Amino acid sequence: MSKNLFIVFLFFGHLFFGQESAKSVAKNKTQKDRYDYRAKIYGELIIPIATGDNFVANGFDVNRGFVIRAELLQPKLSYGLQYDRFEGRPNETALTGFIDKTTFSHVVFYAKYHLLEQKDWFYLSPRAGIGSSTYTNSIGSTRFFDSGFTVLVGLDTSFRVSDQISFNIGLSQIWDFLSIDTAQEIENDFNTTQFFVPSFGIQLHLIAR
Amino acid sequence: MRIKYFLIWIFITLTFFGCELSFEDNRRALIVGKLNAPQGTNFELIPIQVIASNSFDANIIAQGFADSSGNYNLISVVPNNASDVAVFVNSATTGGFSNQGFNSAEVSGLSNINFVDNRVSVPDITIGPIIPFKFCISRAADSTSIVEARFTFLDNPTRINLNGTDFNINNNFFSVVNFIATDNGREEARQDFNVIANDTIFFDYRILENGQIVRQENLAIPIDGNTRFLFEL
Repeated sequence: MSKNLFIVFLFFGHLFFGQESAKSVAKNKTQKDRYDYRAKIYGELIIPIATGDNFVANGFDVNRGFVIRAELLQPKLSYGLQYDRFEGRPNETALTGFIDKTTFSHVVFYAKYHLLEQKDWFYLSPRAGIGSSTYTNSIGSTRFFDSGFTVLVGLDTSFRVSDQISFNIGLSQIWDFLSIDTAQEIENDFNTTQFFVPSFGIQLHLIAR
Repeated sequence: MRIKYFLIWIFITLTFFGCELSFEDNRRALIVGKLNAPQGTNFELIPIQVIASNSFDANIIAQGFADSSGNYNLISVVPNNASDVAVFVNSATTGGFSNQGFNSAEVSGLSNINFVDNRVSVPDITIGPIIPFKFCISRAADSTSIVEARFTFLDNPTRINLNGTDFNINNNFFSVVNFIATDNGREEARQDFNVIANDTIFFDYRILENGQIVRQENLAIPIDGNTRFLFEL
């Protein structure tokens, strides 16, 4: 968990440091340049669907959640950091262990390529990233954790509706490679989990060049 | 003085939290075993629970059903500080005797050391359908003697269901006191309970007058479909 916080701190530190320098540059820009932004903040609703043959897909009802993303834009390639969080409740405890509920969260660092760079009102951008996953399991008032390494691929589309705001619709696929130690017969069920994650929300454009 | 109370409070708090069951991160275990029951038993309706406990706390750590052959594989979270782990089959907490007409059974003593290699093998558990058993002791209406009785089983189950209540057999005699007058000039005491089919029940009774045993008998009764028994004293 502290590793995740450290990554978030580093990223946001860089983001806001970048904001100051960008503001000073922005004074000398033309009217057209107002539409080019250096950073974005996303807030999105996600509807994760557990897929594959694993303990989450077979034993959990996964609920909606949210994702918060911060992104630094470059002409062709952007990079960003996302934190997502959603809950699940076991529907087949023989496959999951007797757990009241589990909160799934990921911190992912990603890079994003803009396919339609020339259009300032529409973006189509595949992205890929790596990060860490934490599953917080609750049994009554007691908690324990499962953790692992995360790989993400996705595709974002966004429509700018004003200088400051865009709407975003995205699809992503997340693979969690978990470190759960278990009996040999069920290792495959606990090694890897997958989520297909449709998302939609808004982007706030932070910094003008 | 405040510091003293503060230290006591800290001690109690730490003691309480230290005793609550906790679970290992990044770990699951597989609990495997087999239920034995008469042919035709629908195992998929008989609930199985695994409960970890210590002196202060208890938690279900796995729950599920056996397959059609009676084999079960339950995935469990792994407790850190449990003093006992036990498997309960068809226990009162999951329906007990009212559930599908089977007796309950349990295996305890599966301590943490059995979670080595994340696999716990549970000894076979035998269950059977239960049948209602009606027992009647008849005696003369003017009798003032004390009747004591006890029931034991050939397979030595530790519990039966007595008048709808889970009843632990402790091999002690109990006094039969609920005699009721009947039309034929005698009085009868009835005892209804459930027994496991194909078992043999041993009925011991003794009659005391002025503190002395004047008659006693030990009867072996096969439970082979006849579920009503009358003993005339």
